[in-house]
Order: sequence, then structure tokens, then C-alpha cells
Amino acid sequence: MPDVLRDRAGVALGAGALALIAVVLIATGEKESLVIGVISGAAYGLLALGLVLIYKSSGVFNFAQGEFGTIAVYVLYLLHFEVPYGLALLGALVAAVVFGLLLERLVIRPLYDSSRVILLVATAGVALLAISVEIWFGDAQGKTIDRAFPTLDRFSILGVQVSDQRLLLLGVLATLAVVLALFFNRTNLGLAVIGASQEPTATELVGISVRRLSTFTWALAALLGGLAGVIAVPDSGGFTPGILTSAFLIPAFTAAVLGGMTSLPGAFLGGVIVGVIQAVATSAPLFDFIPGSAGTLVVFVVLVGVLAIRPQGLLGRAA
Amino acid sequence: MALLEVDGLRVGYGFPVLMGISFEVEEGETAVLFGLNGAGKTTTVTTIAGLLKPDAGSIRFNGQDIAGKRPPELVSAGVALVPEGRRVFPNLTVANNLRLGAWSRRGNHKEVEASRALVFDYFPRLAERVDQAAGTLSGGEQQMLAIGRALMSKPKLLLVDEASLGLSPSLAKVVFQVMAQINEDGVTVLIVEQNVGVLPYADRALIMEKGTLIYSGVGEEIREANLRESYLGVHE
Amino acid sequence: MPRRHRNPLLALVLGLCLVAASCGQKSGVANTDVAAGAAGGGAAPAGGAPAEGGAAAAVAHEPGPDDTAGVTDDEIVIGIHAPVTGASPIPQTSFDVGKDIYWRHLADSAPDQLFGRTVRVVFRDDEFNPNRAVAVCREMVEAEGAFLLIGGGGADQITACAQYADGIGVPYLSAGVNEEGLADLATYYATSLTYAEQAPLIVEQIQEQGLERIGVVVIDTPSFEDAHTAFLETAEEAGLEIVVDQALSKTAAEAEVLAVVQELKGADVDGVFLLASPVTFIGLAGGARNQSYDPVWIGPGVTSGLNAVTNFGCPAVENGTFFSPFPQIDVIEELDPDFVPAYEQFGEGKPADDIGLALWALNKTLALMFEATGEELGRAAFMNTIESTEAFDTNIYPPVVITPEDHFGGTGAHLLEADCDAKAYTTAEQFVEGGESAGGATGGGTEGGATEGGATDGGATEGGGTEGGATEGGATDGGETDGGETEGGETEGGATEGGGTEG
Ligand SMILES: Nc1ncnc2c1ncn2[C@@H]1O[C@H](COP(=O)(O)OP(=O)(O)O)[C@@H](O)[C@H]1O
Ligand SMILES: [Mg+2]
Repeated sequence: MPDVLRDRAGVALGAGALALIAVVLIATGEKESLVIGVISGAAYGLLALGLVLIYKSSGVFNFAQGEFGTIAVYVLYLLHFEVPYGLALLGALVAAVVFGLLLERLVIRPLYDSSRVILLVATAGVALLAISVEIWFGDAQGKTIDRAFPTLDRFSILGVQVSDQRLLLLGVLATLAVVLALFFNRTNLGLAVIGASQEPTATELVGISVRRLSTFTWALAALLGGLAGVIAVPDSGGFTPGILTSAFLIPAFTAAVLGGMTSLPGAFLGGVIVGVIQAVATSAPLFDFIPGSAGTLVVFVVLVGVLAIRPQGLLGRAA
Repeated sequence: MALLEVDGLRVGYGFPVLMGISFEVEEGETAVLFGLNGAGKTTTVTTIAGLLKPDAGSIRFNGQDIAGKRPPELVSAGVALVPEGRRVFPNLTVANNLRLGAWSRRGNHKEVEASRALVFDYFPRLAERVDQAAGTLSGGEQQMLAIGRALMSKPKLLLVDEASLGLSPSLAKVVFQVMAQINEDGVTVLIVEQNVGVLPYADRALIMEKGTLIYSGVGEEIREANLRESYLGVHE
Repeated sequence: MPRRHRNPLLALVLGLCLVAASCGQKSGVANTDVAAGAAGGGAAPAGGAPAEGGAAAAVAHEPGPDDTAGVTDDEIVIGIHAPVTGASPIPQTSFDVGKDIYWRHLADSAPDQLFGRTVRVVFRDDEFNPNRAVAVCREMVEAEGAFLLIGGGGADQITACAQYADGIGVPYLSAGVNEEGLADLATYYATSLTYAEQAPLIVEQIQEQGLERIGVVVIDTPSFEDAHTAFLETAEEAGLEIVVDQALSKTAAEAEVLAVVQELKGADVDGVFLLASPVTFIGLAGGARNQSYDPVWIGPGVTSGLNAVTNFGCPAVENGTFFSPFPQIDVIEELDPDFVPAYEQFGEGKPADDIGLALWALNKTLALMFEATGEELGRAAFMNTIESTEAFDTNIYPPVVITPEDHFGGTGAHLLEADCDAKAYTTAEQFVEGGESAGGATGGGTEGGATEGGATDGGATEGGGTEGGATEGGATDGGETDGGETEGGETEGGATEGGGTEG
């Protein structure tokens, strides 16, 4: 089966699973959780896309993925006092990409031949460094930032209002998932990225500079992280240093694992599923026996369960 | 001027492996490089293909010094290596493996399409499995794909490292025959082998031992029995 | 192939959890500690000589080996910890400036006070993290030689540090938070009503506002359990209808917060009793606002009523209503006319704010306590004194009444309401009385050199004595409310005392 078809089959499978969950939720009166899950899970999905991209291309779990987003949020915050919002957004994304390029050049490249665990630790260190920089620039206090689209109540789905900003997030996420899937299946550059992740030597041998590819993928991942930050954070209340690492990274990681760590549409669906799980676990009477916050716990159980039972994820390939 | 001129080549991995070897391959030839495991054959061809930097010596290809150049440049210049162990992209389809092989000519759709057709001519089996993931192919098919992928860059010099390894004698023979065909179609070929079954197709033989070249010969002499016995330990 | 990825990923999960657990509470900002100079708990003059007056009550505190640590002839060192980084909206600069203002004012206006001693305040950031809190408290005692410790806010951190302080006999004071984990400590003192003690005030306020369908949202921490239970019981007695009762984690994800909001909204809750950090409050209020849902958020608290919350959370927090040990800045001029001028004089250009006000009130209380203890200041004498003094009245905090049996000294609270037009809290009611915890007012008889506040403590003790703090408070409040001028009923004490202090 061609790559594209395999992805489509995976997407169909995931969408089917989601449809089933939807039916159950509506039948049990938890229909709001569905909408909440989709709108809050979209942010996880967007962050997960970046995680998957890096994992796909270099086998590294990028701990700094969240901070691509937080850095972008801080730059957006600082810039939006000075220039029009659109320009500030652009500046924020540029900052995220620059951060990604620096990370690749100064940390990833020198450690290129090290074990993946060392790279993981290195990216974790970069995340902590980024958080310190955020504290330094923006002090440690919580802040809020305006939405790109202020309207909150244009749409109401199953009794839950969906703000325009959320629709933007969903739209960007769905578009990116499809565009990236096409990119990886249909373009030379996309194929090269996948090729390099599997056979770096062979990739060099056909005349592709693996290092240049690495630069490219980190820049792209940083762009995705930045997008996740600047779209999701203004709609979710406020932010503090490290917000995307502390609040989004584990759900996003769970989303990526659910999607199989290598499937981009899988990351998207995984994000939505994680959001739904959190919402259901918090509100469904079924989980009342769990003391405290059921959402966090249930997500964690799902994460460990998937890793232990089906490490290739719901839509991932066993390879 | 030979197409490939290697002179005093020294390469190592922190310790010396190639002790200064010199040989030539003329344009249009099929040369075979023999040697036991660990002799330095793979080191030799990967250095020529640009994956390793030589410590000393020169490598001239088509009159140009290419020692130390990186693969992207060498592929464009016309050097392609089919690496030991095939190294196909397992998750990509046959078609996409070939497509990546043509990376250096990726703007040129017509020529790439022609190369693809040629590869399918050499290996009809690949045409049947064009949409199959490379990781699911048999060993022989993967070897064919690896050779096909290298051909997609339209090389002048094709380096093939242990193509017959792990293949049944009959399949190995098929592969050797196709390489002869490729050579006939104008590509200079340097084959690394331990299988003397390749000798009938060779114009030149080179034998390595512990990082040095201990034999180099051309023409009918290489097919004489005493070569096999004295250097390769093969008795018929 | 999958096998290859499996273990690393599983291992990763563990690592992720560890880091994420600490991520909510990043460090990074260095601790402040402006003060320099003499550290060591240099043994003060008089040696151990047992403090005179103290030995009044039941089990008096006995001086330990470090009894006078942190006290010299001309200085007293005190240590404060509070969260200024991590999941907290308290601006550090406010703390840095505010912690010293009262003492500088005192040294300037009444140099003979405190028997010629000045007070040096050491401040540490606990990062909203209980482990960190213990570490910085230890540091303040051992390295800075703090005589006593003060918790600036955050129930879990206060509980952790107070338990540490109790273990080494160091007095520890904080605004009232939980009772769980603090009630048995010999050296812990609450200077305002605990969350549980505020339950009657809150229930009454809910009734006054005519809220009918009540939701309860409580952060899942043991520190909040007693307050949670107290509210449920008080509300039930009062006949309130509680339709939602939800726990939420300290670090709840957005989907969880939204699910709670949806549940409140779906149940038509019009008043939410909230026991949560300001950050959670802001998240909930923001989520509700996004759903065009605006219930009244009401609760006890020290930090949720800070203007940092309105700064950060408006317009979503518009319906925030919180009880607080100190009033907001809008009424300080009438309660303590010294405050604003002192800030102008010593505030290094920082405008007076509510954190400064909280610190001012706390330090003012401490000054009364030091003064009451007398010249021979030691930890045992200090604790014996505050347990035997009838009341400490700053006219900012409601009078603080501590007995040997009851270290929860609060007698009332102020009611604050968010005003998003002004992006600030306003003081809706002052000195709302009530809340009586277990011990009752055993009031140690006569005395009270320091406070002289006969009038005030009369009021306070009565509330307790008559039992049924709720009902009693209710009566009082009713009077106050329709009086319009809140101080009306209460004035006696307030005015008298204020006058006394000033004059
Ligand atoms: N990547 C490497 N790192 C270190 N030593 C190597 C590496 N590759 C090969 N060698 C050593 O170099 C010598 C020659 O190896 P190689 O060129 O692979 O021989 P051959 O292909 O003839 O079997 C051997 O001793 C081998 O152990
Ligand atoms: Mg070899």
C-alpha cells in the first residue's frame, strides 16, 4: 500500500474511533466534553505535530518543543504593545524559528553523533534555559494577551461556545496536519526528511546533506511550536514562564504517542482524544472515585497503557 | 587518463586502516576488489564516495581531485555508491526510494523518468513492487533497489559494496549479470566482492589484505586458477 | 522495530513527569535578601534569664538554647517567605519594597519604640513549592539568624514551613489558612481567621447576595480539606443548595478547567465557593467568561483578593468576592493615615499597593507583640506574651486574639469585591465579625499592656462567647450593612484604637 493510502487508512481508523467516542459521549450526556476536548485538545495536537516531526526526522524527543511556543508568546506579548498585532504575530513566529535554528546549530549539531538520550537531556536543558530567559525578560508574573480574534460567542456547539480564536486554532491545525502529511508523502524534501530519519548514510549517499535537512526540520518544528503558542495561549487565560512546557507538553506527548509518534494526522487526532479524555474524566460521574484531578491521572494511565500495549500508537506504523 | 586514479591513499578511524594504496580503474571497465573481511574494502569505497576523509593520498575522478569532497558534490559529479547492507529506506515505497536516488537531478523530470524506466528495464521485479514499502522486499529485491537507486543519479562510476552478500547463488548471478549489463550501457563499475563468481564479468581485479593492495591485474590473467588459489584461497 | 522505541519512550514518561512537576514552579529568580550584614544568631546579652511576664498561662513556653537568636541590643531579624515566582501573581518588587516600610516608618517616627531596636526583614521566595518553602525557612533561621518566621501566603507552603519551625521552637506567624496540620503546633500563630473559620461569613454573604444554586470548587490538597468540610457543613445548616462539588488539581489542564466550568454552567450555579490559588481562579473565571457565564466567585483567601488578580484577570474576574485579613487600599486612609505617607517617604518611588498594605499590617501587629513582650525579648517570652495578651489591634487586621489553647487568632475579616473598571478590588465591608474556632475565647483575664484596646476586644470576645459565631455575626452584619457606612457598628473599637495609636 502506498504511504499516502496507509496514512489515509490510519486517519479513517482514528476518525472512526473518535466517532465512536462521540456517540458514547452524546448518549451518556457528556456531549459538552466532546466539544471541550476538541477545542482544548487542538492545542495539544499542534504541539504534538512538532514533536512528531522532530521524532520522525531524528529520533529525538524534543523537550524544548513547548518553549518554542512560550518564547513566541513572550515575543508576541512584548511586540504587540509596539506594532500592529499581525506584525507582532509574525515577529513571534520569526523568533520561534530563530530559536529553533540556534538550538539546532548550537546544541543538536554538536551532539549529532551522541545517543538519543543525551539529546533528550540536552533539549530539556534548553527548555529550562528558555524558561529562565522568559523570567528574565518578562519577570515571573502571570500575564494575559489579546486574542487575534476577540469574538467569543459566534458559534455554540452542543451548548459550548467556541471562540473565533479556537476556530482559527482548529483550522490551522487541521490544515497543517494535511499539508504536512502531503509534504512528507509527496515532496522530495519531505521524503528526504523521512529518509534521513531511517538511513542517514544512504541519504548522504544520494547527495542530500543530512545536516542541512536537520536545520530545516528544527526550523519547521520551531515554527509549529510557535504557532501553537501564539494561537492557543491568548485564548486560554494567561501565561507564565514555561507555560507550554508545564501545561501542554505532557498532553501533547500523549497525543503524539497515541498517534504513533510518527503519524502527523495521528498527532492531530491524538490531541483531540487527549482533550476529550481530560474533559470526560473531570466531569463524568464514573471517575468521581478518583480523588482530586481525574483528568491528569487518566491521561497518564492512557499514556502508559499505549506505550506498554501498543507502542506504535493507534495510527502509527510498526516501524 | 583513467577514470578513477587512487594514489597513496591512507584512511583510518583514529587508527590507520588503509596503509597507502594506489590503483586505477579505466573508463568503461568492470573492476573487482577482493579481500577477506576486515581487509579495508568498504573503507576504500566509502572514502571514494566521500563518506570518509582521507588522511593522505589523492583520489582523482575524471581528472579532478575529489579527495575530501562530500557526497552531494560527488553524486553530481557522477560517483554513486551502493553501500554494504543495501541501506534502502524501509518506510518509503520503491518508487520513493528511486525518487530520492534522483535527488541530484530533481528538477529534471524527463530525465528522471527515463532513468526510472531504465532501472525497471534492468530489474522488472521492482516495477511490480513499485508501491510496496522497501522494508517489505526480499533481500535480493532490496539489493536490486539499492542498485537502482544509485543508478537514478546517472553515475559515471558505480561503486557496489558486497552486492551478492546473503543472496542465493542463482540470485547473485542475476545481480552480476545486470551489473554487466549496466557496464555495457556505459557505466564504469567497481565491485567489492568476496564471491569469485563475479570474476567472469570482470576486466580488472584488485586484491587487498590488511589495508594494502597485494595484487592488481587485468585481462585474462585474472581468470587463471593460480590467482584464485594463491590470493583468494579458493580451490576448484 | 517498535520494540526498539518502546523502552526509551516509557522511561521518557517518567522523566517528563518529574520535570513537569517542577515546571509549574520554576525557580530562576534569585532570592532577594536585600539586607546584609550580621548573620549569626549571636547570643544576645541577658542570656537565658526567663522572661518575666510570660509564664501566665497553662503550658508556658520554656526558653530553649537559641531563645534569643536573631535579637541583639539594637536589632531584631525576622524572616518572611512568600511565592513571588512560580504559579503566583505576587509581584516581587512589591515585596522587596513593602517588607521594610513599616519598620522604617517606626524607626523614623518613634525611635524609642521596641526598646531602641530596629527590625531587619529577610525575605525569601518559596516559589509556591512546599519543599522549597522549608528550605528557605531553614536558610532564614540558620544562615540569617531569624528570630521568627512569617508566611506571606500559600497554604501548602505555610503549613510546611510552620511544621519545620515548630520542630525547632521558632515562632511562626501567618494569616489564617488551614487548620489541618497547624492546629497541633506549639509555635504557630494565625493572625487572621482560618479558611474554615470564614465559612460562616461566606455562607452569610451568599445568603445576603441571594445566591441560590451553589457550586463548590476546591483545589485538591490536604491543606484545604478542613475548610472544604467546614463550608459544606455550614452551608448545609444554613439550608444552601449545593449542586456541584468539584476537586481540581493545582495544575489542572485547560480541558479540566473548562469541564468544571461547563459543569457549573450546566447546573445553573450562580455562586461558586472557591478554594484555589489565584491562577486557578483566573483560569476558571476566564473559562466561564468565554462561555458567557458569570457566576459570583466567593471564598476565603489572602491572595485571591489582591489587585494583581484584577490586573491579570479582568474582565473575567469581575464577580470575584473574597474575604481578606486586610482591607483594600481604597479605605486605608481612614483606617491608618500613616500608611500612604510612609510609602511616599520610604517607598523608593513605588506607589503604595495592597501587598505593601498586608505587610504593613503584619509588621504593625508584630511591633505590638514585640512591645508587649518587653525589653527581654526571647522566643519563649514572645510566645508566652502573645498567648496571654488580650488582643492586638492594628485597626487594619481585625483584632488578633491568641490564647494558649487557641493559636488561631483571627476575629473577623474584610470583604473585598473586584471592580474591573478600576482593575482593582474594593473593600465592600470592613471588619466583618465572626468565625470562632474550637478553643473559644478563654481570654486570659485582665491585662494587655500593649493594646489597650478594651473596646475592640470586647466586641470580638463577645462574638465567640455567645457561641454560634454565625448567627451572632449575622446580626452584627445585618446592622452594618443597612447602616450603609460599614464601620458603623464596629466603629467603637476601630475609631478609639485608631485615635489611640495616632495620637
Ligand atoms: N566505523 C568504523 N570504526 C572503527 N573501525 C572500523 C570502522 N569500520 C571499519 N573499521 C575497521 O577497519 C578495518 C577495515 O574494515 P572494512 O573496510 O569494513 O573491511 P572490509 O570491508 O574489507 O571487510 C577493520 O579492522 C574494521 O574493524
Ligand atoms: Mg566490507
